[in-house]
Amino acid sequence: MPRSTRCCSARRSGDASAGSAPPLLGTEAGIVTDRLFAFAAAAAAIGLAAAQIEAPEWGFVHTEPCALALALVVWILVAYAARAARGEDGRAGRWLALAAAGAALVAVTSLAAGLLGPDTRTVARAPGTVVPLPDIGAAAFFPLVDADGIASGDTSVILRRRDRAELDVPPGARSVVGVAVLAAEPHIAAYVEAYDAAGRRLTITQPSNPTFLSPVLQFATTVEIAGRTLPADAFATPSLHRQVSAVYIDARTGQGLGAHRFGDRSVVLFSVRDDRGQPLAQSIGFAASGDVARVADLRLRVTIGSYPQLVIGAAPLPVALWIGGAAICAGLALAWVPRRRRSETVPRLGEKRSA
Amino acid sequence: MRAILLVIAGIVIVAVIAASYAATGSRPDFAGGPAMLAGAPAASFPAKRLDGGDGALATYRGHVVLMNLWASWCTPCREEMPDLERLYASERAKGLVVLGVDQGESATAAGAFARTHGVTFPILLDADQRYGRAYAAVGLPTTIVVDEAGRIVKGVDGALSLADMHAAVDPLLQRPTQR
Repeated sequence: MPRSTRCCSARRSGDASAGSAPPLLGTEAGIVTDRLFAFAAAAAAIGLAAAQIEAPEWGFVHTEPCALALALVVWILVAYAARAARGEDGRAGRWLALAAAGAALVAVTSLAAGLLGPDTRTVARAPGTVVPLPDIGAAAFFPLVDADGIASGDTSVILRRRDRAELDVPPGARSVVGVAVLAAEPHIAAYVEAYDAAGRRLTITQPSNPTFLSPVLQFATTVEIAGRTLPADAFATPSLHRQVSAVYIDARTGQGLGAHRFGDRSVVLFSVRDDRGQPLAQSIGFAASGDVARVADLRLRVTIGSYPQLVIGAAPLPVALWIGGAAICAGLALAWVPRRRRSETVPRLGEKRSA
Repeated sequence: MRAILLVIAGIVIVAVIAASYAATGSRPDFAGGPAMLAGAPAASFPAKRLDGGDGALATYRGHVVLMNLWASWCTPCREEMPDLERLYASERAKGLVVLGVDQGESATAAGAFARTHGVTFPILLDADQRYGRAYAAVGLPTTIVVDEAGRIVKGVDGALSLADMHAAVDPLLQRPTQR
């Protein structure tokens, strides 16, 4: 882009200190183009930083194309800021340089979060368990819930930090802790009660789950039924030597799989085998939330709802975001205020000046 | 000169931001099991007692408690039960409470089991298996040793011998009371 010393010297001559009003917006094509690029780059930087916080599960921020894009954004912003700070974009440009520097700071911290921060991960744990998160100096506590808690789906994940107040992360909410963003995403879950044929309650175990003694199914795996991939889980009732597979079927899919009688309700499909893996008589049954399925010699009551999973992603450094944000706001405001004052002094067309 | 200072300032800012992420490089420790709970406050939940009425671990605050999570179908639990009863009989006078917590079974099944094994120590019926989840049980039996102050001293997955039980509780019973 052309850089004319004449242009710059002309603007300097029009500085406020020289006594005459300078052009508030650059008229030279190069700097105008630079400014437009800088505005676009700033918008991209802010958008990506916001995405890192609002959508931590979005993996794009950890990819090389995103890093390259952010590096390009930083280069555009720094290049513009350097030119504008030298006065090439007029008096307003000097303040826009501050805004560009702030946006560059936001882009740098987003770039660092994407390149150096931990990859996004999802922590799914059974109610009542604690997961240490040493990388953010905290432990995530997944509160105990009963069947009603699963049905309501309003359980928060609680973050316990050393020497700090507990932090509730409600379903759907996001919290930034240090350089990590935490989101509690509701995930389908079912609370199961098992009884034998005489109505005696039975212990439920989940040998393949880190939480062995949990009656809450979280459907972390999938199975394929009739060409559809469906969430699945499994548990055992050791006292009766039964292994139970459970498949979550939403209302629409259920219509196609023979669960018509449940109407628009989601169901869980249970399939029971003995502990040698042999199928039993009448060992397949459906149950909607609140219903009891009679499968083989088991009575299974299920409550369907949701329980949160914790999504942890790298967040832009909050201090850098605050400083960058403040610089953007201040730069834009200060670049805009003098123009407004000036425009207030300019008479409208057809308006007569008073003597 | 001003340009050099700006470049240096930029480098410092980038370095500070990079350093704040470098400190977060360690991966989370997902090591599970009751052993990781040592030092934590012992969680307590209300539950029905096998002999009637309501109970909870917190009822025994001020005592050393050896809490054993079990179920009637669990073979190692059956094998461990006589030693738990022996420990209770010998150390009860020193303030030890052995607390059995049945996981998710009916009172009928738990009661039959207790009678068969001549259990005299208190038993809670944990219908929702909350103790099992809160104490990160990765199998049964699971034993948790809690001191007088209600803090977890030790968590063990699997059956203990009588000698193991003594090794866990004797130091707590012999030390000056913290009540």
